[in-house]
Amino acid sequence: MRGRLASSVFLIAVLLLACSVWASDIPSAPKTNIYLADNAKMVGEEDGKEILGIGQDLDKRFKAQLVVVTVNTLGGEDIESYANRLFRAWGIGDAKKNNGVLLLIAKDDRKFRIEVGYGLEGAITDGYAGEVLDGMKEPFKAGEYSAGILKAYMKLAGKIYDEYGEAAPESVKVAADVDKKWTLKDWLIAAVAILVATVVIIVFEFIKCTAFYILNVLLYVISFGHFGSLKVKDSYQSACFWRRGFGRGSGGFGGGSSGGGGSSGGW
Amino acid sequence: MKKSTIAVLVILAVLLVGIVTTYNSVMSSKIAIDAQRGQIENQIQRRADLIPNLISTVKGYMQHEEKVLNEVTEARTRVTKAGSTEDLAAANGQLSAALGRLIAVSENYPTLKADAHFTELMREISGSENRIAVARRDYNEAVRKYNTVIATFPGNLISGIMGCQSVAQFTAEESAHEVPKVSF
Repeated sequence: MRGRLASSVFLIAVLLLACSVWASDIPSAPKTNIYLADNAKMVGEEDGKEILGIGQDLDKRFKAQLVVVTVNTLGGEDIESYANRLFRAWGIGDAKKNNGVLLLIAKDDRKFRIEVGYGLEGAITDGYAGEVLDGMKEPFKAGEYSAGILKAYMKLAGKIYDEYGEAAPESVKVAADVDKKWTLKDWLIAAVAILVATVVIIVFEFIKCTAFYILNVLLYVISFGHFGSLKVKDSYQSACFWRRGFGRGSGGFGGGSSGGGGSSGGW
Repeated sequence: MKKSTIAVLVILAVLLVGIVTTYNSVMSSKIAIDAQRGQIENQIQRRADLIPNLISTVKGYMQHEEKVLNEVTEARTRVTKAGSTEDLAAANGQLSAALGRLIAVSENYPTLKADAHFTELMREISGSENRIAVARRDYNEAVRKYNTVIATFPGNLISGIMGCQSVAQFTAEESAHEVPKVSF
């Protein structure tokens, strides 16, 4: 009996393994840093960080997910259906808003595509997607993949900010509109601004969390233990962003879908 | 109550639940087919709506290509007048073919290819073409699911009583649906 059980467990394990191997023609969805899946190693470290930063901001504010995926090869499939399959398998964008955008680059096939979820088809028209891809051709031909990808990313991000009626951060505008290099002074100002903003946010969150904790304890004492809690963890869970484990914000894809909108090209 | 009565009641209840869930799964897969069919029709319509704009842009550049332009316009009219989805698909195939010829001819007009409006329209049209392909794939997937549900146990019992027929896949000439490729 035990032997039988063991063998059936083994069989199931083998089947599961077989399934995962069979589905491995598209890369598996990343769990962290989901906005850049650089399988073909085309994006530099600095540019990658910038992409992740903007991606996170878009996700946090609008639940929109703008994702760059680079692969070495499409394995003979056309880029349109490959992109659509990957988009849906990963579930890019919010499941209700379907506001995902995928920038897929197949390095050895020299092809790229922007696939747009239903929810953003109005903001990023096929025509605009084609324009963005056109802008990538020149740097790509020169082998400057990282710069081309970053610029395209910023352009697309700018459209998403527009769609939700919010001003894009300065870094998005600068990178998308002008090609001019930042001077040391610009970098210093930006760094200081980011530092200040981070400190403000952390201090604010800390105050908020502490207040919640105190409130919770007070409630616990007043209600003789019926409500509230003495545990730090309970009160933090509801109030603190680091306790929420960054939630869906950077934890995974939202389950969005696409109907094949967007544009394709090559270089 | 006798033990046997309880047993019969339990069996009946289980049976009823089974029938209801099976019926629901048959119906929901049928509804999914209709939704996907609507999606195909929408996307075909969407592309057809871009055609008049394209024609008026192209006309300024192509004075001697009346025949090609007329073909496109006619095919577009057929799409807008098509009744069933099958007619629509056939008309859409003709429109694709006519557009293909138009694109081939446009290679001879460098100034047209440099026109920003033309470029934009062609992108929209090939985008539409891809959307139609995706919608058709989704439709076929929905049909496959439905056919499986009504052909296998327990769906086959319910579908036998309801008189459900299996639905044909959408095979509308794959070759005619080649996305028109324009190199700019």
